[in-house]
Amino acid sequence: MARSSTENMITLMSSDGEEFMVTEKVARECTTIRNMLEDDCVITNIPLPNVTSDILSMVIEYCMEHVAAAEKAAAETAEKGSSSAPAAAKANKDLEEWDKAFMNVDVYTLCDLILAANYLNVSGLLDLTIQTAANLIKGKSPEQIRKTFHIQNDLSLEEEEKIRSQTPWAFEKSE
Amino acid sequence: MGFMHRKLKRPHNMRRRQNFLNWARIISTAYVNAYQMMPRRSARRANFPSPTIQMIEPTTIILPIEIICTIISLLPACDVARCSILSKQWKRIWLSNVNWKLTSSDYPSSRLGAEQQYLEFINDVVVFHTGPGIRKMLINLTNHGAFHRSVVFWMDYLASHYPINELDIDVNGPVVPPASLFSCTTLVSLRLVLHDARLIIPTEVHLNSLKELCLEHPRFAESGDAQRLINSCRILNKLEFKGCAGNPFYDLHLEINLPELKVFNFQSSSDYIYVHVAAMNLEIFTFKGRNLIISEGVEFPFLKEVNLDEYELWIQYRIFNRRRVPTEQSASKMHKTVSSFKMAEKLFLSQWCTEHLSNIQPEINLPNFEILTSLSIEFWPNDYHANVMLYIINCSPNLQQLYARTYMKTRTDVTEPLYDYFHLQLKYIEMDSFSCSNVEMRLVERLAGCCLQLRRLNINLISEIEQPIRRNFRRVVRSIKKLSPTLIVSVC
Repeated sequence: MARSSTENMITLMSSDGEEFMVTEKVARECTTIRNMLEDDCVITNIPLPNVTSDILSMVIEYCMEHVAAAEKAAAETAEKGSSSAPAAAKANKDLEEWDKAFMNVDVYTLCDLILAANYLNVSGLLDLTIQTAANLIKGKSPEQIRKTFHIQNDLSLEEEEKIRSQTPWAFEKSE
Repeated sequence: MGFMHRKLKRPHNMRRRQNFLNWARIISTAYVNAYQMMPRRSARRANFPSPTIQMIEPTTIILPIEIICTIISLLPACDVARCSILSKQWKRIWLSNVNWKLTSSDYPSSRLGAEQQYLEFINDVVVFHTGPGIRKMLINLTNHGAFHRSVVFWMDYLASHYPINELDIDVNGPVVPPASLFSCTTLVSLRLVLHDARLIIPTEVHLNSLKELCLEHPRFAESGDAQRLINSCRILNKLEFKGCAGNPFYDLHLEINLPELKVFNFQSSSDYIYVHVAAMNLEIFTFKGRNLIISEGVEFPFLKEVNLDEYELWIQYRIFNRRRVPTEQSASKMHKTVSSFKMAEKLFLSQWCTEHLSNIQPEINLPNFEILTSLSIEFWPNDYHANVMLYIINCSPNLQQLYARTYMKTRTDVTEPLYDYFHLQLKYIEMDSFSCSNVEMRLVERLAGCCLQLRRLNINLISEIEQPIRRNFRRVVRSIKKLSPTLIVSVC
């Protein structure tokens, strides 16, 4: 990954005070930061009070991978004049595989990532994490979902029975 | 892993700052290199959760409501309904879901009163919605129940109460869309399976944001209706008419002249529908029907894929001796149609297209297909058809794949000298339903001989072939294999 000397470095500061140096291009993946940069172009140090350092490092990892993939695709297109479909498809598949491996995290990290992606407005990461969360719910019984997401059941037994009787078919398949 | 540069504080001195930046650049490059060499870092993290997480005891995870709503909107209806039982928070949320997918897989399995229960459930979803308004609604219940009457009410309610974007209705039974649907300005994508319901289009149509329209089995009440509908959707990107029913009492003329149209798919077996195409920005064009007219002087510079199957009724065709006036007319029309697709990348021509092209008098004369890389063609085992095929291959200098399928119809053993030339790009040929007639054998030999770059030849034989013919075929295959050491011939 060749870097031009004119590229700006930006420092992102997590809630626990750790600093991360990233290139402007990577930082721009976060729409929130991009908006800040566009409002005031001399900013080099951005505090992010809502994101802890481990989560921020993961978000940066995601952005870097996706920026690198986009740059690679752009370079290939420029080289050959036109993009070749099979190569692009393979690159996409590789990136998907990477995303899949990246999503191999516990539920707490996943939820923190969702919140961070939502706060920083990284649309790709937000879609990815939310889809992962949805996949954890799909086809599971209520007890399994409660256990996975550590949801406390504050419904009374009567309320629960009432809901179950309204849509009994929904509970047939999972139990 | 690059964590070392986290703790660095920004230096104040300007020169030191420059040094620092250079240093940081080196480190960041090293970071990238190191991390590319180290796959599945996140997997490692999953096994050893970081200390901050370990300190928190497993308690309730609290996500903001809008995020839970987004998660829910990705789930099928069955899971959404199940989520209502999780907790008080989730109980409130499930009815505010903006994106509903109701499909057969969620449908209650054969139980007494299942249909009524499901009907009431959809009714609740549509009428008692508590969120910002339903955006997407997919009702796909072709195999179950009779929802076609209720669906009309739901469509009316959705179109008049919510800012709906996507509507996809496919139920068992004829569906008559309500008038309010055609004045829904928020609608972006609409798919309706009408099952031959009589489609009445109101005089005022306001589908201003509609980009995708798919109507399956529509029957237009009046001849101007379909045209009025199409003309009012000026920014349409994708238009599909499948199984459109004609009316023997009038001819239906459809003028497709939308500037933004990229995908057009038309399928109908009706004799009374005429399709005039002038949408020059088309990228994917599929036509299966009877009367296609490409408007005069229209070129399609962005074409990627063309599937052309303009067929004749076999009985009607038999009445006229071939090379008489009616076939000549259709031949020149087909010539014009195929010529206008000269910018296509992928082309499919059905047997009837080949037949009409073979009737062009005095001889076939098509423009060059400069960009064509993949050709699928159906042909009858006769030399006229074989010549058409070889002619198109000859016209396409960049062709790389050929898929040919034999149809047993007529004129099997007419002998005519086949075209003679060399092709330099063609790499892959597949012959389907190969019947080992003389024409086909000569065609394959000719193709294998003239395509100098050919790497692979697949031949799929039809099942009933007699032994002597099979023996003859094996001899031909052996002689083809001798032509080039790099050619792979497979027969199945």
